[in-house]
Amino acid sequence: MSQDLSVNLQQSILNASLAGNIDANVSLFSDDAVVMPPNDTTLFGKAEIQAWWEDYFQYFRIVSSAESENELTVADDQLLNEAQLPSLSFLKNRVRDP
Amino acid sequence: MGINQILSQKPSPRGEVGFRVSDVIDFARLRGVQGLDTKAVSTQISCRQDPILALRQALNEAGKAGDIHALISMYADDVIVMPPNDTTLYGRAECREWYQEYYQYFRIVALSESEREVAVHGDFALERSGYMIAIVPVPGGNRIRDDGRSFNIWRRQADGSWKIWQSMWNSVKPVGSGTNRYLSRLTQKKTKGKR
Repeated sequence: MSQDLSVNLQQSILNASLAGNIDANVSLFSDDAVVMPPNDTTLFGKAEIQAWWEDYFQYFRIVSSAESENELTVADDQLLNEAQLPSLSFLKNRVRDP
Repeated sequence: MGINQILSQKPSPRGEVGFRVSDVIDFARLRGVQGLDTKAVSTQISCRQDPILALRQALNEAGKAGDIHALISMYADDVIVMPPNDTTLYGRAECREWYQEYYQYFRIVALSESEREVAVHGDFALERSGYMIAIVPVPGGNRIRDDGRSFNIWRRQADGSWKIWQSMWNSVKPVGSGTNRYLSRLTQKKTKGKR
């Protein structure tokens, strides 16, 4: 199930990126998300992530994006996800958030 | 009342390790604990909150010393490392080779953390940090400064020790500045060599 969830989430991220759908993309991040894009400053929270994507899609359009590798590990309520774009992320299970 | 009892009375809502030093000291004082050794409390709490703090400090020191053996000893056998502008490294042997090449060309002369956050979940510790690094080319040349971030997943091993299991880092500086251009050149050199 967790593997399915990860695949679905990854697919959602890829689809949102390919479509340039910023709202859909940002909705996949938690409120306290931290993103560290290369050659750029760290982004804290949804507002900064949204601004980053808005800036990105102002200049670029993603025409193809595919993962060559994806490994998932579940620890407590966290999904540790290593995807080969490459990126390293952990997805928080919001259902169990207090 | 001992500090262990104090700590055990203040669990975090989700059962994760996580105490603010000031909270526990205030709590202890309210409970009438006399002669509280705040430094000892801080140390004990730090270990509970951050079981990899000492290892991280040792990792930084090993990096500055160019001590490849010490660096590699902190990696799990099945470690995966994703350095910027380079291929993914699988296992200790590939990491060792990467560091050997790195230290052939560069020496780290300064390394300090500007930010660090750790969250422990079971046998995994997620560590995000920001750092400033200064390196100098071994053959000579100007000091190169860079600001970067790292994200490490440490995994508790069967013997109870913590090892880096997955790791990646990158620079906040634009492409072509910081240490990136040097690492890129290194990568290009490696690519040419394989042709």
